[in-house]
Amino acid sequence: MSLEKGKISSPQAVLLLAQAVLATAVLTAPSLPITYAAQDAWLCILLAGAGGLAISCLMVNLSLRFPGKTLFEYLEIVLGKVPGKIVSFFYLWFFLHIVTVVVREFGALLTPAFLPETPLIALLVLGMVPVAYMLWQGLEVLARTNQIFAALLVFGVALVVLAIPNIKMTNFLPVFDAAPVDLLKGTLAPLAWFGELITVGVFLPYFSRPEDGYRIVALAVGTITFMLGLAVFLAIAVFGPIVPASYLFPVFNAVRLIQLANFIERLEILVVIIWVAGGLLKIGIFYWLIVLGAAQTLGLRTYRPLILPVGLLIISLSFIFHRSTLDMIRYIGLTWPFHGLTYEALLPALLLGIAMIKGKRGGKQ
Amino acid sequence: MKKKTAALTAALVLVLCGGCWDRRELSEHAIILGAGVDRRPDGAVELTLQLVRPAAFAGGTEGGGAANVSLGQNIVWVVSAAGEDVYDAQRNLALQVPRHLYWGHNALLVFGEEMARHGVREATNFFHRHPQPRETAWVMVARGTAKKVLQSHSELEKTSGQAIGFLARAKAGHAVRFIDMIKDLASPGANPALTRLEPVRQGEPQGPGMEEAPQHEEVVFTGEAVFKDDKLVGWLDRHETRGLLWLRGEMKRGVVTVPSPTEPKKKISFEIIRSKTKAEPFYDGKTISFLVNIITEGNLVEQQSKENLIPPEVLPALEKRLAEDIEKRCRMALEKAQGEYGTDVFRFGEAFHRKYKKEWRTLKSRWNEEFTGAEISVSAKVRIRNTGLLTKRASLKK
Repeated sequence: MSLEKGKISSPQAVLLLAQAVLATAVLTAPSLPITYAAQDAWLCILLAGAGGLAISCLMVNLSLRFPGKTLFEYLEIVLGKVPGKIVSFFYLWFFLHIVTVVVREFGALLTPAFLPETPLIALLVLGMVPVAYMLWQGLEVLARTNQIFAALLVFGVALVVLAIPNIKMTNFLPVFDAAPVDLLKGTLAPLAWFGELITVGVFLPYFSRPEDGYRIVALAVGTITFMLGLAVFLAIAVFGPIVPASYLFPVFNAVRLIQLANFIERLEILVVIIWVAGGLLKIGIFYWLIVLGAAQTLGLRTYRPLILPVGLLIISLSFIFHRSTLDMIRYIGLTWPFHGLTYEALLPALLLGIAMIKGKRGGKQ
Repeated sequence: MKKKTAALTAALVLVLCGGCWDRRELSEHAIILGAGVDRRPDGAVELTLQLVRPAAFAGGTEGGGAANVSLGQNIVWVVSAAGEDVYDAQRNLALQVPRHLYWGHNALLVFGEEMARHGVREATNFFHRHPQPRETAWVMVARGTAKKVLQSHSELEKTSGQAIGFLARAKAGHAVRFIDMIKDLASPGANPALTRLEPVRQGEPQGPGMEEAPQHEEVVFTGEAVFKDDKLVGWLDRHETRGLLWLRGEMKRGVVTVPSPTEPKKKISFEIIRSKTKAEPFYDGKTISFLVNIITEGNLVEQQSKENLIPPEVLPALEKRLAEDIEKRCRMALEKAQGEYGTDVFRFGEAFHRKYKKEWRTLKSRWNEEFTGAEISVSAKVRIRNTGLLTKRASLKK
């Protein structure tokens, strides 16, 4: 606990958790469900939201059994010292994987559309420096920065209002056209994104009111479902059920179409501002999880010495894991749902099972 | 220490603020206003670009029209080059144009007739994939080559591309945005229909010193290019185009002129204010039929006949005449699309899908054939809301 002294209030916690999922999900998430479920993709988001609520409540339940301890700390209590440390490393590796995708998506947004000739590494290093500084300052700074930038999401909603002239509600008809299998396929990737809410297992001890955990994750799931649903709605309403499946960033393209009164146009740069801010914060959140988790697993007194090496690791791994943008898209579409849900649903469920058995037997709290 | 860190940070920020790799000054750009894609007989893609010549605009103020443009200079520079695909052609153009070609302001994409007949799908990819061209650009088809359309110039606007853009924005005819064409191409229940452009000789030279000036060709909207999937299969003339607009529910502005119910030789004109079209499909397992309901509201704007419009039976009779005229236009377009071309350019397939989602799964792969055999009846309703500033003819002798 001495590793991180910060405490975050409940509203900050909701926004932090929402940002941990939303920042990248709104970028690429709409394409995948639309690929499988066409105009019914919004149903996939609702289903994924329900699943996400279950996953995050499971995690809160697990964490509340070990007050004041993070996921990395209670893994050792649940599984024993050595197996606990091994699973901790697996989780660190998983978070590292997530953050490399975030870094890569962030690059894929800036590079082709705005700075085609700038080497990605230059952008990444520039982005990582302020993030590393935030971590140096600790969780409270991260949470407060996030609170400020959350205001940008309001702009995001305003953009949808401006897009109304391009919206055709008949694009959503007929409803329930997709086969149940396709709905399920379309639900998996967004569900894995919602599953990123397991980070609550690390954040919970730093909440000023951990006992409100359930309410906090429920609000976070609500926020994410609303924003993701809005993104999918916009893509289908503007482009119909077929075209957006081919887009890398459907919302970005939908905003490009806004043309009002001959002078309100070319607003896509606003989307980029929202996304760059969100992307950096999401990188910050997972970067913090990794350095904190590594320090706790290794038994360090402070995580600060880890910031630089982990930062370099994130940048280099983002290139090694994903050779190109398409590589990343393939990972998100095919590997990510299973990779993600293993750590987000399967392992926590097992842990909870073990904790319940052990808790009953040993009376450990 | 703190001061030193602050100074160092400030210095770093200043260095980085200088700009980035991709910085390009405005003066290094060649701004593309219009683009045309033609297909050469050997299969090569010929790209024609209308580029702004900034020097010709220098010193002028906006809104002055052609008058502020320096005399004796071309306003735009039209260049073209061939290549294996659109981007290859653009690279070949880059060898002729000493600046960076910039697509961000391109407002018009014209396909040549040959290209359109061969299929436009392949030629659209670059304009969708590349981040610079906008999906809101107008897409049209040239009768003849796109090159010729782009080489023409406009008397009223600075460039022919601009003139076409203004015509499209005025909604006088039918104009399709790039993204809407893509949606029609992607949809199994629709086919694109694009504006047909044609250079037409018009305008008498007027004013002192103009007697010797030759008549020139201006680009005019002359109808509609009808596609089956991505291939041009035929044209609609101006009258049939009206029918297409009614049936698609895209009629925004326009005038309907019909003979007066009481004096058949005199005409009455009606201006459309708003209009709504609803196509309802019916399917019994064998035959597909559509009932198209069109409801239009508008004003009476011109009356050659002398009848008094006040008696309660006069306006309904006139409204019926107008409705019959609209129905006739629709039938003209339908006959061409169903009979001659065999392609659903009205998006009726999408309407069918909305109502019969299960049946659609088997029908969608051969929708154009099903559409050809469908029975389509059109019923229009017209409501005359106003009659301008007159209630009856004012110049009549009592």
